Amino acid sequence: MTSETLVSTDLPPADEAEGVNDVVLTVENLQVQFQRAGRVVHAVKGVDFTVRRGRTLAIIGESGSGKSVSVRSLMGLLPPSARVTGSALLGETQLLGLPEPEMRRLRGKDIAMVFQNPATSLNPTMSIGAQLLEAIRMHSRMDKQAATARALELLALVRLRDPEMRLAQYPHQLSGGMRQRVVIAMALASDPAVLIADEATTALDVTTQAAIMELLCDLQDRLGMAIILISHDLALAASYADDVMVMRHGAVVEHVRPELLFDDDRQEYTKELLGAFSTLPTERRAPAAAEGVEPLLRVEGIVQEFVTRGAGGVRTGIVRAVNDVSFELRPGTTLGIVGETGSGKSTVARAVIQVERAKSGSVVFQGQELGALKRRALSKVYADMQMIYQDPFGSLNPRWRVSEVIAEPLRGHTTMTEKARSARVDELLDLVGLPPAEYRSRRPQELSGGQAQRVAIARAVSLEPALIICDEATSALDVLIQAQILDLLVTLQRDLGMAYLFIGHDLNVVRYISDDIAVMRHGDLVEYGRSEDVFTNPQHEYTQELLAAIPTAEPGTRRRR
Amino acid sequence: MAVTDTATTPTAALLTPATASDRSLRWARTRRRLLVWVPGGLVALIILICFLGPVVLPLPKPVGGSILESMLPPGSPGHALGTDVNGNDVLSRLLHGGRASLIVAISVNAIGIIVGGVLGALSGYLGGRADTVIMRLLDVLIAFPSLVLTIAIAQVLGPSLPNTIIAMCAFSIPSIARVARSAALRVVSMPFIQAAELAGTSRWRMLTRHIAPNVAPQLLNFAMLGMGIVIVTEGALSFLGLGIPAPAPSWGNMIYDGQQALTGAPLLVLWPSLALLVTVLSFNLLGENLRDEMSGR
Amino acid sequence: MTTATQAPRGAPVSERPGLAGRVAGSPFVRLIARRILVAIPLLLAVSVLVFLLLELMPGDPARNQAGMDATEEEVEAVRKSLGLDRPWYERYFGWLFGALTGNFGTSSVSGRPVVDLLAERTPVTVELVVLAFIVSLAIAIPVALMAARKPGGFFDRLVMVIAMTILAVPNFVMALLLILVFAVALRLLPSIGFVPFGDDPMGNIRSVIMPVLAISVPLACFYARFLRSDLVEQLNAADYVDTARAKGAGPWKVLWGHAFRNSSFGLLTIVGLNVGALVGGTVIIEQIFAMPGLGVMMLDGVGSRDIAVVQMCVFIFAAVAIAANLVVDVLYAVLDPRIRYGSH
Repeated sequence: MTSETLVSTDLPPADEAEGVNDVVLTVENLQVQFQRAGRVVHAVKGVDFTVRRGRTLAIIGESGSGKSVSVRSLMGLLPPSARVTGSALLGETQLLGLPEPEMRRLRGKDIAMVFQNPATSLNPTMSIGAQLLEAIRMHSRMDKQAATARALELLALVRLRDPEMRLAQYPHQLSGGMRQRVVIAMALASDPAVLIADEATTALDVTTQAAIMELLCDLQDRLGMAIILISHDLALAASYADDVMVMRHGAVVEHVRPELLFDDDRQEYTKELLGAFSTLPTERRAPAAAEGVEPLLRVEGIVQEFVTRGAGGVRTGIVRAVNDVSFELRPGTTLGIVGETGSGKSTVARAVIQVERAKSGSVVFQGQELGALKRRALSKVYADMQMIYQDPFGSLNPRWRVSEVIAEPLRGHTTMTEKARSARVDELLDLVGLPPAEYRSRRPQELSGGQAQRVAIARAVSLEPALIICDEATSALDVLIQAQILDLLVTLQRDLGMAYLFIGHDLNVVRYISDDIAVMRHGDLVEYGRSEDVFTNPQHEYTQELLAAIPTAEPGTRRRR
Repeated sequence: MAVTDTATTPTAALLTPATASDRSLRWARTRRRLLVWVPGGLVALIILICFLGPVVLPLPKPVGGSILESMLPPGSPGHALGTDVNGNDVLSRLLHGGRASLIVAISVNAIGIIVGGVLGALSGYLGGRADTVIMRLLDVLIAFPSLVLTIAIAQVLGPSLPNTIIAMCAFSIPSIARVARSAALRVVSMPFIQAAELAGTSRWRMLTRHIAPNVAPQLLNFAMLGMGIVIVTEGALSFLGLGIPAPAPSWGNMIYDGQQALTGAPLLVLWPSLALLVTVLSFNLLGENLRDEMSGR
Repeated sequence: MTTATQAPRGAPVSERPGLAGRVAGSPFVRLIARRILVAIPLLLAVSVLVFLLLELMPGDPARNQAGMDATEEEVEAVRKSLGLDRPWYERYFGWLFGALTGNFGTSSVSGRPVVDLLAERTPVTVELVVLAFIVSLAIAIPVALMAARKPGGFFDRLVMVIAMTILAVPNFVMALLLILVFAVALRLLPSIGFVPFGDDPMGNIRSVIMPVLAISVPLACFYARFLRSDLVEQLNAADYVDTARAKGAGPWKVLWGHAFRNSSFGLLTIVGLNVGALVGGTVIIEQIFAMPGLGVMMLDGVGSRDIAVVQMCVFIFAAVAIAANLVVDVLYAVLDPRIRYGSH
């Protein structure tokens, strides 16, 4: 173990009022190494933990922390190039180094796993029933009838309505939350002692996430299995786990009970993870300064509809994605539009920027009705309206260099000389925290996600536009990087006076940066007001629901004890 | 005061090179290089031999041989690979035939990329009516089995080298256009295109600096794989008498001629067949491995 | 400010089925109808192209038929009888109308109605094409599965190298090589000729083996390479493979029960795209093996400037290719649950 691995000594007491028999899994000095292009990568550098019946262990970390690799090694699901050492005792059985045929007997039966992406975790070409039956009959000798009965039982257990109907349906016919319930049902088919949830709620909406976590807690109560919860969300862990382990760069940084997470003697890293969005940036100036000024952007009565198409482009109906949405944005302020998937928030952004002209309604920017402008005139407007996208790499041409990317708006909207542009590019790179000498000649492949997004920001800011639309601009980044990027955006706003239209699904993130907030649901604007008002005193029940669903870092809020 | 980005590389785990793995690292890299350079070298060699060979080497002419000298075995004086049924030098015909086949293949693909690539990329970028019209027109050509279409056109035009090229463009242009279009559509859906619009980039610049560079690699790759197909199709055409007209040599018509003597002198069929095999294989290997290299990067 | 309006999510504001929808409501049937409706103008356009193309062919069919020593009047008479003095669009519609009513014209060489020739020749080509299709998949699928079982293993690499090499051999060369080995050297199989199944089943099989192999083996190599790489991709990257393994599924179950189900769609697409290669292959293979099929008929017609025959053959080949693509689309709609059931 290197000097990075300062394990907190506050491990949960070994057998305080719980029998030692309650331990189902003991992991000691787990190490995993990969052979990658001739080099050895130490993905996991010595991890210890125990998991007990009816208890939940949360393993928290950012990407690259080794949390997923650790649990996959327990299931024997690592690629052949992996070398695993240490000990992992499931009851009497040593999991590491177990020959494959025996491992297969255990997988799904004694130890089961639920994965992150419900959209792709189920085989799209097999019915739900077929996949469920496969799980059930894998480890038992039930005939079809008995297995089907068991399948219905399981679906009822995970609170899926109309279980008979579900059996015949296919994954694409179910929502994300429903699919994840099916995956959980499959995992529980043979009553495993340990259930591993690998970022099982990360891809879900926050309200769905709350529902799935409730379900898992309930199931744990009823069936008594141990749960290992993998996530990047420390607040989630704090709310639902009995035991929290923080990993970073393959080593354990912290291992405590959730109640102790807020103590002062926690590691710096833990504090950083916890506090990422809990304090508002001190550099945000008071929105009151902009009172009484003519709004920069006024959106009224936006309606957007899409034609839904079924098999082979055959028209099946019309969906109203945005239903009569209106709001205002004053210069130099930030309006956050928050909503879950399908709320229409991104559609609104695209309607504002005229990429997809709204079916009806008006978008007035700097006094001009954008919907009435033709391509040429609209192009001139863009000198004052820019956008930052969700996918940091998708918004950069993979064949261009950083300097060309940033200079593009300067080329398109100004008559600056090559030399002037080059100087401006260097200025901008400094502004976003990327030393020009090192970064101007790089290509996107040579950048990390955070760096790529900084380049996108530099490009957006190059003409000092009046408005920048941030479409889920931080959603694809790790938590700590998100915080850095948001701070950068806030700083730039303070210095350059731009207004932001910030689209996001994460309430904490949106609150951090917004002066005003609009909450959207299924195409409707359900709540609209000052950021602090909406958060402390939500009027609409959906907003209340959303706020309630966010895992607060208060330990034990969700657990039934 | 700007915040500096602390993350330097996407993967955060420590890297420790171990000695045993250095060898496997070097081997992996060498192997990748070999997979590109060996077929690439072969292709270059074949092109060199076929184009320069007849100029440099003292070979008899590929046509106009005397019947008295027919069917000489390989190793005969002045005829390294022997002569065919008409008395022509096999080696000479092999090289000239190769030159003809390669000229056809390169021309067909070059025209295909230029015409088809531009057509397809434009179609994908412009979308709407223009796209539908262009694609419907090309659909009519693609609907035909390629060999059948080529035969029909070659028949109309008459057998000759330029006509063979034209006949084969009838299927290479639409198929490359299709690939170009789907690549262009993929590019157009990327956010950086939208960002370019916001940046005020002109349509022309969009096409040349954004669309083309991101479509070109796929086109080139497709064309490389298509070289083999074109060479084989030309061979088939010439075999049927509709391609390069006798007595001018082509690997295809050499095989056809050799068919008569299949029982007695199978080598007459085997030499051009071997030439076809090696050439097509080299192009295919080169194309596939180039693609792997580029996508792996 | 709060807005309380709540439009139900995704509730269709309006549902306007098209013509096909009114005929039969389900989107599935509508899809098939739509595909057919698209295919028809395509077929027509193809027929126009074919007609025009062959009108441009050099040579004078009237003179051909009348003979070398015919006088001008005789040639003109023949021309009139063949209807060649009318303008091209009249002839085209006449031809089209005739085709729709079963009259495909008369061969200017043999004088027989083309439809009779078709009746004689089609079974041969059909037998070749169908057998080649079946054999190519029968070889490709098991080979790809076994190769994907241990990616990078000995079998996998061996098979892929062999496949790559065979692919580089043109099918007519393969045909000649087969003849060389089996007919000339080993004297096991007849090098040319076709024996109808009705006459002599054994003879039929013996006469058909080599042609079918010549067409199907290169195709099989192509399919095997594609399927193998698609399978390996699924095994490496697909999340549902992880789920299946986590359930305790063994490697064959994962490969066949899960990965193959998904890869089969990609395979279906390529098979559809390569119908042209399958059909075009028969043309040249029939020639080499002297099989009395449509391909040979077309080539003979090309050689003797028998326009009516060539028109019909080219058109049929194109129509078959279009029909095959239609079938592929329909199969997709039937087999892929994402298309069959749409979203809820």
